Amino acid sequence: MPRNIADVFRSLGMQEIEKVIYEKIAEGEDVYAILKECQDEMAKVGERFESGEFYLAELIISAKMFEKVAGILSPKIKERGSEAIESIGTIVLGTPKGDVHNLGKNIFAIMAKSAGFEVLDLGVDVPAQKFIEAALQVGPKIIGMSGLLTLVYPSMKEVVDLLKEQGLRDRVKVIIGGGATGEEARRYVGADAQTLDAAEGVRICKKLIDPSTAGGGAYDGN
Amino acid sequence: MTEIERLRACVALDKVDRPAILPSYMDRFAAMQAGLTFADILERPDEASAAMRRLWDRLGGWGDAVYYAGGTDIYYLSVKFLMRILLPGKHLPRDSYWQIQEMPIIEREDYSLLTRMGWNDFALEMIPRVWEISPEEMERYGSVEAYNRGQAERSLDQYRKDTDLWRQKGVEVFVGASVPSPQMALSCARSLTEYTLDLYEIPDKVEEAVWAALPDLIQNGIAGCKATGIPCVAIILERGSGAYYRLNLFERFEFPQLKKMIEEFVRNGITPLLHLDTDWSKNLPYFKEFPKGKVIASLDGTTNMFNAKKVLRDHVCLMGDVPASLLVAGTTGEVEAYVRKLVEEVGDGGGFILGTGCSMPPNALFQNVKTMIDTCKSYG
Repeated sequence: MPRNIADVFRSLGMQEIEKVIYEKIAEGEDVYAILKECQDEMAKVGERFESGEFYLAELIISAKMFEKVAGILSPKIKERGSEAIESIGTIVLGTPKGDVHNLGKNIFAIMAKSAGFEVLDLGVDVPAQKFIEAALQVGPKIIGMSGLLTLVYPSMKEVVDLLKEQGLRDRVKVIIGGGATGEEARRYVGADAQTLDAAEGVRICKKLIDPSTAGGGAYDGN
Repeated sequence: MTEIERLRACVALDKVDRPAILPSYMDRFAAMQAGLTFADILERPDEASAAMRRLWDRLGGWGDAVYYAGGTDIYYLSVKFLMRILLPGKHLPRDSYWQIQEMPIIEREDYSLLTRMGWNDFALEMIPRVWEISPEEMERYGSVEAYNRGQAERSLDQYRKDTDLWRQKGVEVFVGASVPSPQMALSCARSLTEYTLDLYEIPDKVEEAVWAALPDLIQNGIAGCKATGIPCVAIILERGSGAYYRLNLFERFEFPQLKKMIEEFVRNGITPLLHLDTDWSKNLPYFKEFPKGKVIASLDGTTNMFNAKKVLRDHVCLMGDVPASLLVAGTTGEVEAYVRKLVEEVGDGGGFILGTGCSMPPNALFQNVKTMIDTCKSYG
C-alpha cells in the first residue's frame, strides 16, 4: 500500500523515501509542495528529538533521508530557474581551523536546510579569514562554528574578533556547538549562543533571527 | 591511608577522608605545559612521560595515582578502534592535535567475516586499512602479524618503563589496560552513521558480530592487565548511550555484552572503569545490575552527575566530571565552586573520585587545574 511522506519519515523508511518522492513527482505533484512537506516532517523530527521521543540515531537517519530528498528535488527546482525557494536566512557554517570533525556540523547543516535556512558550508579546518570572506560575500544572518576540541576555542574567537574589526558583528549572530563547548566557551569566544545538539541549534538559530519564534535555549538573549 | 588505598576505598564505596583524585589523559596537557608539540608526544614517548612527571611536581601531585603511565600510543588507538587517524607531523602540522577520520573502515559484508573470525583475527586483517606500514617496516617484520606483535611489545615495554618511573616517585599507576565495548569498536570501524543504519536495517548481523567480538575484547583486557601488572581496565564507551540509541537497542547491542565484560573482569580481580562519554542518564538504572562496589563509572560532564549520584548511590563509584569548557575558559572561582559542589553532593557518603570530564583538555589553564586539585585536597 502506498505510504505518504509523513508515514515514511515517522517510520524512518530510509529505503522507501526515494520511491515515495519519485511517485509524487510522477503523479504531477509540485516539487515545492513535496519539499515543503519534507521540511515540515524534519521540523517534527527536531521537535521529537528535543522532547526525548527521538534519539540521535533517528535524527541521523532522518537527516540522511532529507539529504536524499534534496538530492532528487534540487535539480528539478533549479530547472524552474527564477522561482527560488524562500529562505529564512543564510548560515555560514564550518569547523574552524585546528579541527577536522564534521559529523555534528553535517547533521546541523541538513537540519538547518530542512528548516528553511540557506547554508553555506565551508567544510573543516577553516581559517578565520575564510569565514569573514564568506560573510562579506553572502551576508549571512548567522555564522555557525562547530568543533570537538577545546583547542579550537581561539580559532572561534578569532572569527568573532575579525567580525568586530570588519564592522560586521552587529549584523551577524554567532552560534558555536560541539561536544567540548559550554557556557564558558561561549563567553570566551564572544558568541551569542552555544549548543550541544543539532536540533536545539536550529531552534536557537530561528530564535536568533526572529526573537518572536517560540522556544528558549542556551543563548545570550542580548 | 595511602593514596592508592583511598582510590580503592572510593571504588569499594567505603568512607574516606576526602574523594580520591584521578584526572585522566594528562599527557597532552603536560606536553603543552612543557612546550612539546603533539607530534613530539607520538614520536618521543620518553619526553612525553618525563613532561608528565615534571607537571606532577609543579602541581604538587595531581591526584592519588596517575591514570595512564605515559603518553598516547597512537598505533594502538587506531588499531583498537579500527579508525584512521590524521597524525601531527605527518598529515597535520606538528602542533595540531591528532584527529579521527570518521569514515567506514569496514563494510556491511565484513560483519560476517568478523563473526567467523572473532575480533582479534579480524582486526589483524583490517590493520592495512587504518595504518600505513612503510615498505621498510614490512621488510623488517615480514608480515602484518609480526609488525603488530612488534608494536605490542614496544608499547608494553614503554608502559612498564613509565610505570616504574612513577613508582620511583612513589606514585602508582591506576589503569593497566583499555578496551572498547564491542558496540563502540564496531561503531568506530563502521562510522557512526553507517553503524546506526546497520542497527535499523541489518540488526541480526550486527548482533552476531557484537557477540563474536566480545570474547577477544574481554581476553585483551585481562591479558593487558596481567602484562602491566595493574588490575584496572578502562572500558571505552560512548556511542551506545541513551543520547544515541533508544533503550531497546541498548538492551540488545550494548548492555548484555558490557555486563558480561564487567563480570569477567571482576571475576579476574580487575576493576572495570567505564569511560562514559556522552549522556548516559537513561542507561544509569541498568548499572545497578553490575556488582556492587566493584565498578567505576567515569562521566564526562554531559551526564548529570548529581542525578547519577541519586540513581547509583551505594552501588557504583562515580568519577568525573569537571567539564572541559570550564577548565579551559572558566575562572578559578567557577572551578572551585563546581568542585565544591561535586565533593559535597556527589562525594556525600563516599563512592566518588574527582576527575575531568573525558580527558584533561590540552589547553586547560594551569591555575584552573591546580584549583580543581587543591580544592578537593582541602577536604582531606
